[in-house]
Amino acid sequence: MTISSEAVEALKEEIWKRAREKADKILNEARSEAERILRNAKAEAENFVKNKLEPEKLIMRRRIIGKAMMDGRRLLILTKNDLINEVFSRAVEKLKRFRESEEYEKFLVKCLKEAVEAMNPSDGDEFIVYVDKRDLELLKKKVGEIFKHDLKFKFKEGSFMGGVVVMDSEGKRIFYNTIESKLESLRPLLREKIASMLFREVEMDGKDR
Amino acid sequence: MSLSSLLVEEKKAMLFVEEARKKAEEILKEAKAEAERILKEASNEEKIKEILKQYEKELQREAERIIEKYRKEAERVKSVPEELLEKASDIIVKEVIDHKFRSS
Repeated sequence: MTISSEAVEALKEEIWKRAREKADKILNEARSEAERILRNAKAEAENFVKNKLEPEKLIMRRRIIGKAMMDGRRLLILTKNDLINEVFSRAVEKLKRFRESEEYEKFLVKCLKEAVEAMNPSDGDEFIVYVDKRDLELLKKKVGEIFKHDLKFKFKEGSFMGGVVVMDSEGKRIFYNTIESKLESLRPLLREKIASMLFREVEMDGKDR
Repeated sequence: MSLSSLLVEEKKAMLFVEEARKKAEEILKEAKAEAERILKEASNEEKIKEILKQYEKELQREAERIIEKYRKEAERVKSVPEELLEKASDIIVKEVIDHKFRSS
């Protein structure tokens, strides 16, 4: 059997066409598989790193950033406290000087009156009044004009900025009505009030900047 | 030209395909080696330590920025005007003096 040279050429072409197609298919499949292998390896590596690192990163973040936030807040609170304490110190100095003012006498009488009346006194009752040495004579002089009831007073020396401490004769009830006790009982409320006054204004000022 | 020349050509083509197959195997072998390297690198303790060290440095910088922010805020708070402090202390004085005693 003889085949024409054209036919041979055509067959050769066909052989090579198929061979090239097969080779391309093999290579393309290999490349795809290689890509899949690498993709999977990268994903697995990422997962591994994520699972290993994320919990440690979170702990680290909480430790470092948490501490920074806490330190920062503490610094701010301490600064605000210092300012509030400064305001209270100034107020105490002013209260110390208050006794030198004309209104102090009226204040002292009011302190005594309030404390004694809080005891619901009746005629003949006796009270012990602690008063600062500097106020002793003044109060002794004034006490007769203050009460409607016929009350007896024993004065004893105390040491306060101003005001009085009153005790019934049996020592069962004792009322502190001094500048110090008033300041202490008002302190929590005043702290809030002062803080809101000082820092609200500062914050508003800051926002405007 | 004859049938035998076609057989020779066919053989060459088969070798060509065989070459491609070998090349494919090489591609897969390289991919597997690379995948192994990637996984090995990921589980490398030293590398993980290094990543954490870098992250810690980042966090330290962030922490410094946070502290600095609070420091500035504290400075701003400190700049309360003198007259406001005086006004606030006057309020305390007034509240204390006007306070009405209540027995509890």
